[in-house]
Amino acid sequence: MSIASILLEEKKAMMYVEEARRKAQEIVQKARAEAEKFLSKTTETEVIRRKLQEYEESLREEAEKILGEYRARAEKLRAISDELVERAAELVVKVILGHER
Amino acid sequence: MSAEQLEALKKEIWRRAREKAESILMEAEREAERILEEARRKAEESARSKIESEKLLLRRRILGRAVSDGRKMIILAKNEAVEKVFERALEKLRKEVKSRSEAYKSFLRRSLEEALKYISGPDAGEIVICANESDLDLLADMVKDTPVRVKLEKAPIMGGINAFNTGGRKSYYGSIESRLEALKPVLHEKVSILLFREVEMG
Repeated sequence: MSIASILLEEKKAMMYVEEARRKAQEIVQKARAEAEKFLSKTTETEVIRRKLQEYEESLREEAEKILGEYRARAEKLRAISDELVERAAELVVKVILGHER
Repeated sequence: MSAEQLEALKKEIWRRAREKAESILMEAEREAERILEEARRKAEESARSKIESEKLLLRRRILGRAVSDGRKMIILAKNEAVEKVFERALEKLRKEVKSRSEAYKSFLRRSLEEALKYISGPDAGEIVICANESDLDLLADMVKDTPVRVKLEKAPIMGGINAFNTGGRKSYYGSIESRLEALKPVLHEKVSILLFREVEMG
C-alpha cells in the first residue's frame, strides 16, 4: 500500500459523497414537485371539499338540535291541559254571547 | 508510513466520507419534509380563506331552514291548540242554545234589540228575522209588542239571528256563526294569550 493508493481511496470517497449530494438534490426536487402538485390540485378541490363536508355535517347536527328544541316546544304547546282548554272555551262563549269584544 | 498506518488512514477517509454522505442525505430529508409541511400549511390557509364564504352560505341555508321549519312547527301546534278551543267553544254554544240558558236568552234578546235598532226606520218596511227553528217561539214572544212589522223565518243557523228589511237595504248578522266568524281574529289572539302565556312561561 502506498500514498498513491490513499489518493485513490480519497477520490473514491469524494465520489461517494458527490453521489450522496446528487441523491439529496433528487430528494429535495421530488419534494418540491410534490408540494407544487399538492398546492395546485389538492388545495383547490380535495381539502376544500373535505372541509366543507365536515362543516356541513356539524351544521346538520346543530340544525337537528335546533329542530329538537322546537319539537319539544311544540309538544309542550300541544299538551295543553284540559282545564286550560275549558277556560279558553268559556272565554270564547262569553265573548260570543256577551256582546263584548 | 507503515502498512498499518496506511490502512488506518484509508478507514478514516471512508468513515468521514460516510458521515458526510449521511449528513447530506439527512439534511435533504429534513428539507423535503419542511417543503411538504409548508405546502400543507399554505394549502390549509388557502382553503380556509376560500371556504369562508361557502361556509356562510351553508350556515344560512341549513340553520335558516331549521329555524324556519321549527317556527312552522310552533305555529302549527299553536293553531291546533286554538282550534281545539274553538271546537270546545262550539260544543258549549250548542249546549247553551239547546238548553235555552239564561245567558243564551239574554244574548238572543240583545241581538234582536240591536237588529231592530239598526234596521228599523221610516223606510224600513217589514223586518225579516231569521233564526233557528227552535228559537222562533222565543223570538215571537220577544217581538209581540214591537211597533215595527216583523216576520220570523226559520234558517239553518245554530243560534242568534240574522235580519234584514224587505227593502233589502240593511242587513244585520247576529247569528252565532256570524259572530264567531267576525270575532275569530280577536278571539284567536285572546285565546292564544290565555293558552300560551301560561304554557310558555310555565
